[in-house]
Amino acid sequence: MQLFMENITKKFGDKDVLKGITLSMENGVYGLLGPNGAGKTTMIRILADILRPTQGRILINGQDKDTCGDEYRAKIGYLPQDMSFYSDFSGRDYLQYAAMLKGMPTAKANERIEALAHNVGLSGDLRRRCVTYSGGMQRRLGIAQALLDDPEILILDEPTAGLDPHERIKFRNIISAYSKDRLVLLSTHIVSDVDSIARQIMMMEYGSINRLGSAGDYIKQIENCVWDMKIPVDRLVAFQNSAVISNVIPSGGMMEVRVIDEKKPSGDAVPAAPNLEDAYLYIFNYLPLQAAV
Amino acid sequence: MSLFRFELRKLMLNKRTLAILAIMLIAYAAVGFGTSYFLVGSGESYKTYSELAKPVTGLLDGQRAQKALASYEALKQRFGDNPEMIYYGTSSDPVLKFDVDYANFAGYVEEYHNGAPSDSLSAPYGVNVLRENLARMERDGKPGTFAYKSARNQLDTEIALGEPRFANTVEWGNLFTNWGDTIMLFILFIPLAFLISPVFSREAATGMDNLILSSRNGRRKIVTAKLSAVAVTALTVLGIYLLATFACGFLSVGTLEGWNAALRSVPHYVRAPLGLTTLQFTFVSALWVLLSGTVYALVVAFISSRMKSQIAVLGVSLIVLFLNIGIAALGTGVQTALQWFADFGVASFAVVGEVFAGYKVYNVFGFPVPYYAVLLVFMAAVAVLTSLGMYVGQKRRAVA
Repeated sequence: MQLFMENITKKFGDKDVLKGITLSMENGVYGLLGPNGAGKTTMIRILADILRPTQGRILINGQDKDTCGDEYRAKIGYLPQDMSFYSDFSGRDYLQYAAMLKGMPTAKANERIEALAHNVGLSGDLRRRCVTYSGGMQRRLGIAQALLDDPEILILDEPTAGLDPHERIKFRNIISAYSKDRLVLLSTHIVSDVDSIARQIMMMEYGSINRLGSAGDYIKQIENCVWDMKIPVDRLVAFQNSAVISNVIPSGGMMEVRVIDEKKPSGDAVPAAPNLEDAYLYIFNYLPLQAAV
Repeated sequence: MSLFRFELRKLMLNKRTLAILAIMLIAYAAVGFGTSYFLVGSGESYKTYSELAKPVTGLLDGQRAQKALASYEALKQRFGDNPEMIYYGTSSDPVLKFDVDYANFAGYVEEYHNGAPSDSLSAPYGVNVLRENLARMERDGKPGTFAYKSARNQLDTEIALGEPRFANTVEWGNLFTNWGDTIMLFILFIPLAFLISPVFSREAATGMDNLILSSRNGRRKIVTAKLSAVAVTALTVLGIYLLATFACGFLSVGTLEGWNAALRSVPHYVRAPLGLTTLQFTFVSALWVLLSGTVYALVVAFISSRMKSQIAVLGVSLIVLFLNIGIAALGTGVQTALQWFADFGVASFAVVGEVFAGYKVYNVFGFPVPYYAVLLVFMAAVAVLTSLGMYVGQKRRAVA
């Protein structure tokens, strides 16, 4: 499976929301990270075929999406950012309706619904109306919906929003297992959702994908840019206005601070092992701050 | 469960809509029973009326007409010249009501021959009037014109159908009023628009279009499913109305008397260019209501496919429904200038009484084609275009 985006541009009025994105994706998990307003959801919607680009095209295995007709969408499982339900539908109704929309035979659909409901921990709740579900349950129902017809391409927009830590780990495991011979595109704010399972991670800002690489590539890029240091509590507020801080832990009368900086921020700062979250902050907070200076 | 059944469930087979349908059934039953009951009164009154009608069923009885006209004149003294005041003033008295009806019938027979003073020059009526018009056009050398062909056609039809015949068709007349009067737009088409309006707009309002539009069947088959659900819902609502008003209308008198009388013995249809019995016309009316109502439901569904708010859909649908009534209210000049809109607006083509009550033809390549035939083509075109519009709209629809 190869999905190729060629010069995808999207304008809303005068605003360029996506600026000529060209990108090739194959089987595996792709993480899409970026701040609010970067254009992640717009890109996801274009890939999910619910929004048309102003310019550019999408090729699936070398064939233009627009010439595939319904078959392009038949390959896609999509979990939107905002989950919506009909007020009188039960969880089972919702999944059965989604199965009909996907063109699944009834018997196969029922079989998959039972299996997926078990996988996402909703077996005992399918009879209840989905508007009475908690946020996490609704999210899990949405994940089951996206996986229903075993799609070749799985597009997930903020899939773990509202899930508790245990559910998030469970979700990661499902996706990891699923992605063996599938393409999964996962857009998120939560860096830990993608750092261990993503084959490639895209960093998106101002409608462009500026960087693409593995978690290891990003981490390697900021070696010697992460520091641990201690500062008094009364200096913290002033310090954080001029530095990028990824973590703060109270330690006695002092604050143990994790700082992102290309230079050693103070004499007592010691180098720390970077992680993907540090890389995210480096790209989206530290570099713009330096550019402004 | 198929996609169609889900769409039908969303539109009709849910608790809220079924409750609304139950209320509508009761209301329509009340309309059928109430209008029938207040027409003649109790079963005994109807029986009296029926007995009075039997001896004079058929062509005009001159003697009985004289008596009825005398009675009518006396009623004028009592109620004034307004025919409606006389009609309502005598509805509880079968003897007086019969006199009024027979006096009116005598007038219809006179109109059959010589037209009525209120007839407009553009829509002449009366065998003698039509003959005079034809003779004048022949003198003027216009026998090949559309006006000539139309008048000839009308005269031939009138002669073939013959002079109106009296029959007891009060209950059929009431039924045809319920099925073919403007009031139907309010009690049937407005609720229909309300029930159909969320068919597409609901998806945008709830955000479910994310799921629908990204799915294999979310661009084409869903439209087929929704259109089928719209048709079934519309036919159910219209069917409930037709059955409830028919059954409860005749229930109050307990007889279908007059079923084989000529349609032209029903006062409103005395000029109808149709050689049908009342029962035959009942089927025609029912089919027309089902057809026009379903076409209107498709129009509402089309509007729903272009908007996100159910209230906005309902508002626009009601504007479409009453557009030609609004045009008529703007005065004769405007109405004449926008005659096409007036003739082909929903409030005209959905009202059976407007379509079939008189001779009305259109000039199609020089030939007089009946209004109802042109409307059939028009409604078919509306149905096809709105359906195509929904398919195209869904194909291009996006979630911004």
